[in-house]
Amino acid sequence: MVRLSWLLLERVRNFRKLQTTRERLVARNAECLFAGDENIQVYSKLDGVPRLKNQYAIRLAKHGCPNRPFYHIVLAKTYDDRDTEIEQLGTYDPMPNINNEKLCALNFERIKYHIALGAYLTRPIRRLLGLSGFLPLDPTLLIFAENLRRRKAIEQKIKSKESEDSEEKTETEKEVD
Amino acid sequence: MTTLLHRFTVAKLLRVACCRSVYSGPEAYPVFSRQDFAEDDGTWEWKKLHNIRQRVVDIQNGINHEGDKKIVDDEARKVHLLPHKIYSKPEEYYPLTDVAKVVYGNKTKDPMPKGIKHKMDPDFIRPEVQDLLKSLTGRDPEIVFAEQTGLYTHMPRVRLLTTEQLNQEIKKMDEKFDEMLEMPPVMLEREEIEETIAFDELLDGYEEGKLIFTDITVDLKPDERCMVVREPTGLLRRAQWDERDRALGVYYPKRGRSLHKDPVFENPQVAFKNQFHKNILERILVEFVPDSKEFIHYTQMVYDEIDKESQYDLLRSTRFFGGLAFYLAKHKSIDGLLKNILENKSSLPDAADLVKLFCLINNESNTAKNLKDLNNCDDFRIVQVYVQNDATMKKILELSLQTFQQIPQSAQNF
Repeated sequence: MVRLSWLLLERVRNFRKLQTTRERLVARNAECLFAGDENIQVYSKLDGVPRLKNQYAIRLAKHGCPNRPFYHIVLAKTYDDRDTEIEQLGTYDPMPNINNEKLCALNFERIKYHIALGAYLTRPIRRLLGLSGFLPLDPTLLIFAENLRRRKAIEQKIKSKESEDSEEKTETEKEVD
Repeated sequence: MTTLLHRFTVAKLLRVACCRSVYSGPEAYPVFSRQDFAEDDGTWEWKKLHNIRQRVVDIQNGINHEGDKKIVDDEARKVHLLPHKIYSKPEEYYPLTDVAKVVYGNKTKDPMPKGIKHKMDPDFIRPEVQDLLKSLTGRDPEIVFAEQTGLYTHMPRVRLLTTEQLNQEIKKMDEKFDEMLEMPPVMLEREEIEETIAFDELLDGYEEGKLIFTDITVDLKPDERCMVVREPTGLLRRAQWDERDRALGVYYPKRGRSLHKDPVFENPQVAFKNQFHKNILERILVEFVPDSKEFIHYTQMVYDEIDKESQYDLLRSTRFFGGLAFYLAKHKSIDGLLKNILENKSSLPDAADLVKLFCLINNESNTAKNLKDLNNCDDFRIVQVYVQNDATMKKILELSLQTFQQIPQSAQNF
């Protein structure tokens, strides 16, 4: 027996459980693959397109030390804590090494399997899989790159203006002297 | 009509069971009377379905009513819910899935780009060359089975054996000799991988460093593993050989291999002074792949040093002597070795074997043309022909040959 008040507190603490699940489309006539699994439901909205309802997600779990992050690519449920996992599918090191390289490992075989069963991919995973060539590129990456380029162009303009002003000043000083 | 009666009785039972509790108000459950059901033939859903089915049957027969178009459109939209095939049994609709196929059938076996294979040196593979190299190395058990620092040594054992058992033990030792004297392969240098998969210009400048992706699927050989590099310009290409070796060293490390280069291979003068040539060669064998640029360059460095100082005894009856002799024969610099064999070891058959090796590898040299029947000639004659035609240290070798000429043939091999 558990007190009702304790249950209500537990609910408020673990507010992640109140998050909605994300939806994935399922291939036509592929519902037979998911027939035996209770966790997976195939349901259809009013437009008649079948979708998968599943609480698995592939995401980054942060390990490492302070000021030194290191991520595991992990299959977990959406309502679990960030560092828990059901299966590890790879790693990602965001700090570059001596040769200015960032290392990323991906178990493509198992990632394919879990995507086919309707796992949700978070934004950094989508970016990594797009950069590796496994999936098409994420549009958020392209927008980020373009913004960077614009910012760099603006900074270069400011620098060139400052250098021109300093050159003019030195020239005027020489003339005066 | 039987269904209507069933629903009426169910409603009656519900009314009786639900609403007579203390905590329920006056309108806990709506009260249905017989008059409510008298006008309807059934509930509105039931009526609608009944109507639609009748209409569909009428359309098939050719009878048209008002509102047929809407019914047909609604039915047409539901076609994608129907299976493309009509199943007679439920087993056909829910077939058993082969889990092993689903999990292991889609392996990412990424074949290497065309034209890149691991090629052995064709001269090294020939069995005649292998026999000659094995005979040149020698089989001194004191050097082959010497104590190695760091390994456990057993106490000696004394046993009484019959002749048959003795012969069996000798056979075992011969097999062990072959194991310890197994020559590391001489291979051609591997070509660089240059294959681009894609070029996305829109990604230019998204990062300041490279991204290396490796495939971590289980049960893949290192040649089959896919490794891909994305550069900050947006170019997606396959990883080159040094990047591949580094990534394999991170995720699948091997004992004895390190990720960073040892400066011993760049400045080995101190090691050569203390006669650590054999240790360096063993280290090279463990760390590098016999295909790679570094393996070939560093082994040739060691061989050149030995040839300069004429320290051939360091590698005699080890597994590196075959590589030494092959390298010298290929680059046509046998003279130092010949001199060592004739003076220090003083055995003509070994010298003849060396010259035979030279002829097998360099078919177009003058010695090979003059010596067409190698088996019929004397050992002395073979070496003499070489000294006359292709030798650089002619006079020194002629002097050392003269000793064999004066000694009678009976005492030559003593």
